[in-house]
Amino acid sequence: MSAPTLNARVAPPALVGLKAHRVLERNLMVGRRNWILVLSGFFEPVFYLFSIGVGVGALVGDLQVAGRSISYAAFVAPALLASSAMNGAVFESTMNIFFKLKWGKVYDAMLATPLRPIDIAAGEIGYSLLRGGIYAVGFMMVMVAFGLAHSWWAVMAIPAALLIGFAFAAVGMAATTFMRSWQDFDLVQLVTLPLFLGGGSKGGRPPWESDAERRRQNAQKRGNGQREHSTPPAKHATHPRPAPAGGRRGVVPPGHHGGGSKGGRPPWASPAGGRRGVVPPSRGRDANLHGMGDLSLGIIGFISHIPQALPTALGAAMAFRYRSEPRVAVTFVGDGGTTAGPFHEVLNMASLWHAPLVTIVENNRYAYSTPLDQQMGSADFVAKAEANGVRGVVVDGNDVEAMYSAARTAIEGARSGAGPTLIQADTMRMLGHAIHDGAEYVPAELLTEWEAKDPLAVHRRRLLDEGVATAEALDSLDAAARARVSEAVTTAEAASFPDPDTVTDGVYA
Amino acid sequence: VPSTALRVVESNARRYRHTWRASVITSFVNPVLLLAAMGIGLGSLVEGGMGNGLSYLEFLAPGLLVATAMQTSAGESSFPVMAGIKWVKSYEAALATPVSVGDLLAGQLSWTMVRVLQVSLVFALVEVAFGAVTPAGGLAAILPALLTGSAFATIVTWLTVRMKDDAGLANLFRFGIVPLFLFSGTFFPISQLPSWIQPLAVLTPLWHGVEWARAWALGSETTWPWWGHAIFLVAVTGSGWVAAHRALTRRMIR
Repeated sequence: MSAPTLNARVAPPALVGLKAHRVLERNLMVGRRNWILVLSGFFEPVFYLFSIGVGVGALVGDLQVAGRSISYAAFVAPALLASSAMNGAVFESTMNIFFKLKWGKVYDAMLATPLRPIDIAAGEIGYSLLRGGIYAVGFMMVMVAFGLAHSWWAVMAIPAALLIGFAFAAVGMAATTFMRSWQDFDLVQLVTLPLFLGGGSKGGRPPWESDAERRRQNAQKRGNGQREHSTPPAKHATHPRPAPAGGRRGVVPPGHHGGGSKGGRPPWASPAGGRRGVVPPSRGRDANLHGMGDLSLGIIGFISHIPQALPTALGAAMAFRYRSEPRVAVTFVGDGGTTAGPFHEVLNMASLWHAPLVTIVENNRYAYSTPLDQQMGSADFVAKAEANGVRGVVVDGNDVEAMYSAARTAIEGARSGAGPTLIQADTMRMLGHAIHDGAEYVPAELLTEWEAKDPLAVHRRRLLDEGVATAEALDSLDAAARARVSEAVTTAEAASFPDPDTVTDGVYA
Repeated sequence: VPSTALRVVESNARRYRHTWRASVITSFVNPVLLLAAMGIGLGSLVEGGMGNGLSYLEFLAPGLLVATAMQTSAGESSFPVMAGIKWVKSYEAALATPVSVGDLLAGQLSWTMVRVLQVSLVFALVEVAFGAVTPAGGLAAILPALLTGSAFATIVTWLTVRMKDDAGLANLFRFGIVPLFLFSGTFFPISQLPSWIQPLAVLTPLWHGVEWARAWALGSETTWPWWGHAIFLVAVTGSGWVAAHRALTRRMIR
């Protein structure tokens, strides 16, 4: 048997290489980050001294103690010192220890090091005594300053207070190891409250304070994610890069975007327009379109897992219903997205709840690189809608006017209580899935065929043929649109990168 | 109160079902111990009472009831609010539903009022049992307690919403609520405070609640008419509401 083991067996564990100072050191480091809170503990007994001792003491007048006449404040001050030592020790050794033990898992971490339970117990009690000692010395100085200490023997109240603190801390810590939940701490209060008030001090601190501390602990125990998510300040900007041509939304034929932005240009798109300066909708978080939403325009950020956008839209639709707002939720899903479960679940619930929801299935022939006939047994999306009790219509997705009138009918119907509609918009994806995808897997003749159906070109011809607009008017419209886009690109490129400290803003889980 | 706000009250009530036992015990035990120790124990040292044949217990009881209302209200409006915003994120969840910021505040305030009413009624019952007030006197302190509670509820909610974390809350209690509890005329008349502090005490909602409750419970004279106190407390509640609404909107809605 080796010497250290033998030593440990014959000597009390506390005497062999006690490392409690490491625990103390840890607590001091933590306390340094919040030293104002630690020091502020000093004020509590002082406030009580002035209120109960001096204020109420004035009503009481002098007391006869051991044949001498002393003020009530002088009488009650040592008792306040002792009871604050008790309160501090009990709080420290029950609530705080329980939190570290059960929720903070601080001791699990400590015990994975050479520290032993005895080190932790001695270190924690030592820290509690250190704090109590500082408060006691401070309190004693206040007593002396206000002439409440009548003899040098008053100094002996400090070790007495420490002894009280030690006793309550030790017992409290032992009791804490039996605690199951925060509710058990009301039992602690049932023990300490009568002691405060009845312990001869006639002026212990009221129990609600420890109530407040308990709530703090309760709240802490429930929340492990301590992340702050504040509103990002206006200076946050997007990555300076040109608007990509790719991205799923980027390749939607323009005719599909029936709505567009409602009230003119969004504030972030204009260098001069925004009262808060440049606030790109992505807040500089993504190079692509992911997460770009602007609630002031009624646009919810797009979800990369596209089928998941459907339940989100249904939720928005039901919110409009509950709030009695005359609004309709409109969302897109690709042909590929309809093969996932949420598509069917949402159609079912939307039909059941008669939700003001319009779902546009953008049938563009490819789910990433998978052609339609390899994704699904039936590409009849209207049949799938009707199977769930949702009205379905098929539209030529490259026909701007047909698209507009189908969307209008569906939206107005939903607004007037006719329930959900699914619009199957047949079209073609002319670019890759995203900018990294050259789409070599798409037959060239298919692209050529659809290029002839370019919705902008077709619509322009129709407007000219029917004499609705002149070529000049359409050209200037085009130019204005291009100018607006390049203005937005310039703005985005000029914007600075977001502050790295804000990286967790808007992160919820 | 809109029905969406009632949902917020309901969620608080459902959570309370898990902890009500402890809170009921404390709401009985606290007044019993405080009135016994401070009112009777310490009160026995106050020779000659508070003048006009008023004992210290009688002087203390109505104010202590209102101070308890303040403590309850501040407790309900601070840590639970911070938990809703930051730790449990129940505010985030609620605002994702048709519940608006105003509903959230209205629900939170209503729930706080339910708790204040509960604690105040129990306190009044204990006071009457102690012979500190007549039953009518005990009931008379309830309205001042409720209005004091609502004033603290909106102000403390506002302060909490503006805080980063609970370190600020601990200081709010230590340097705000506790000193108010101790120095706003609950334990001794503010006329005993140094003269330069007295105007400050008059600015605190607790002083108004305590003065009003004492006047109605004991029929004693005050410097302000009761409706003066009421208007002050309603004004504080209202401005706290506006400030809390603005702060919570700024923090939760981006």
